[in-house]
Amino acid sequence: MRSGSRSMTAGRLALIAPAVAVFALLAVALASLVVASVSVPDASWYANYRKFLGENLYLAYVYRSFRVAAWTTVCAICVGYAIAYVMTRVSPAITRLIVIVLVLQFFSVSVTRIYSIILLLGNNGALNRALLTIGVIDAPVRLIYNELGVVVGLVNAALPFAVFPIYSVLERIPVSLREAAHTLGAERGTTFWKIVFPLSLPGIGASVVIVFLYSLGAFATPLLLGGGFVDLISVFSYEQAINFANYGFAAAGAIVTSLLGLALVYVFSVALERKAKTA
Amino acid sequence: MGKEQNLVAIVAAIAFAILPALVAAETLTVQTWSGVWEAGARAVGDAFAKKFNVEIKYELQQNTRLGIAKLRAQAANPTIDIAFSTNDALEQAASENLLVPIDVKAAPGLAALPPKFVHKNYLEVMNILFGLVYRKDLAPFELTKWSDLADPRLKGKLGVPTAQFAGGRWLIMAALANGGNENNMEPGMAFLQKIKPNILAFYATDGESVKVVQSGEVAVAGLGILSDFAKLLGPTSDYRFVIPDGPVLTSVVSVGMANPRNAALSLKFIEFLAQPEAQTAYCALINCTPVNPKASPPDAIKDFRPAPERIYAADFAVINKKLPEWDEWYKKEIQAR
Repeated sequence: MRSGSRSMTAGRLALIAPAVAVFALLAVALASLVVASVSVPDASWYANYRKFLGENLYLAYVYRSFRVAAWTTVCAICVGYAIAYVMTRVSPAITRLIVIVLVLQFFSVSVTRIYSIILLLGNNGALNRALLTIGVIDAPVRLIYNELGVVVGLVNAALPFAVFPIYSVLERIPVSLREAAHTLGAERGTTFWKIVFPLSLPGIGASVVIVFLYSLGAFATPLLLGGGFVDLISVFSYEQAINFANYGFAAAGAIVTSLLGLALVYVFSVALERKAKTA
Repeated sequence: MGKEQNLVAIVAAIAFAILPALVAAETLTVQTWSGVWEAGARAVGDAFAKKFNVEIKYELQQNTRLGIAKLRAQAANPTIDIAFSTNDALEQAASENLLVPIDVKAAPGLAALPPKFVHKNYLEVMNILFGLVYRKDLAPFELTKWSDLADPRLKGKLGVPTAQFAGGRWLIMAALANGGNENNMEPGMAFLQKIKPNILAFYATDGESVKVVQSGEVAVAGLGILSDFAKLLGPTSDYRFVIPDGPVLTSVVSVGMANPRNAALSLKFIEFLAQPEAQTAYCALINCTPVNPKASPPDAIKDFRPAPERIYAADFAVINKKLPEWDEWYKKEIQAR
């Protein structure tokens, strides 16, 4: 029996070893980031943080990043929830088709996808040209090279992350619950808000966290669709680290934003858990 | 018998696969930009590989500064032997001891170049030209001078670089065009404030500059590289590349050696690159001006080449030092909306 339990323990350790290795690597990378941020030659250890937090120019990166991430999350969850809900109501064949489209989108090259958005939404893009042709507008409407364009691009990219966690929860809600509600006289809207939606909160919570953190760290989309007007913390970190070789300052900015992001996610998770318990 | 035949086939396939690697005794890893730059590097690299029976591997850099960052990252254990970059970036790399000094005595072929192009740690190999780019079908008028960028008719039609584009050359050009230089940026800053209402978008790389013009989002790119736009020009094309009167900025494509363990082969490569044949082949693809006086620049750029006295030799030691401060100003005053 003892040798049996020992081999089971060894087996379990072998299974978790790759995950431990990945986390260890992540921990080392994060530690080196922290060390870089406080290693300031000829200045106090907090010099990078003081500079980052003391200048409106740099705080603007953080504020802008959170604002864009928040809008992206709200929009992606709304659209993603609708898609996930439709997937639970249509035939399996159509559900599979939607899954394929989302997976293809997920694996598509991001720069190609971004440039297709430019060709669609740009001043010279298909949408503006169509609206000009039919006379709805007199001049192109600026849909990219601003925060709107960045949010559209990020929602497009983050949609799979929004849909799948919600879908996985929605499809497990027993149909009998809805049927029971209808039998007891509840209308569709009431059934949805009182029964389906509260039960889908864990899925929504997971989607919110994933989409928010994904958007917070996005790089190519804000760089290309923001047109230089919507530089987020990722662009700041890239410029400081790569163009100016100022790794410490880049690290300080990234750490401040990450800590704020994680704090926000923690508060959200606690609030959602409490809500789910009372639902 | 069947199994034996299969075994022979497998061994033969493996031998066939590894034979070229065995025959090619030495390997050289060359880092370069993608697109036309890669094509140019391959044209030279493949000829070198054939002549000296070596294997060349190519690594691509997204942009110049990322290439230098890769050299920094690999400094403890270099794998990149030859780095194609710009003179200002290699000045920075040399100051960080990322490059192997060039042993001129061991490379007599470098005498083919005027001495001013052979530096202690890198070799200048080609000049690329900067100018403004516009589309005749989208621009409301024909642009001929830098001050045209401030014309109110270009409101919302202008794309301009970020401050960090091409090592700060956009800011330098703005200053030069208005009587300033890298030691006196005030005229350039005033000019940038004037063109601010016309700006629709900023681009950070030369690749983006092409895409933003090609997509039709902007009618004018404030600063572009001739090598990127040359393929779009032509008698029936709507694209125009203009080098206005006054000082001309260039970027100098340069090469440095980054791996002391492969210095001998790397030196052979840059010696090969300095020769007229290699320079002519490279510039034919890049549309640049070779530094070897015996090499021929491509016909496509003959009309654009300015008189040598117009080419402004910027002090990149000053620019590299001041660029972070200029970048902050640019972000606050020009990019902020």
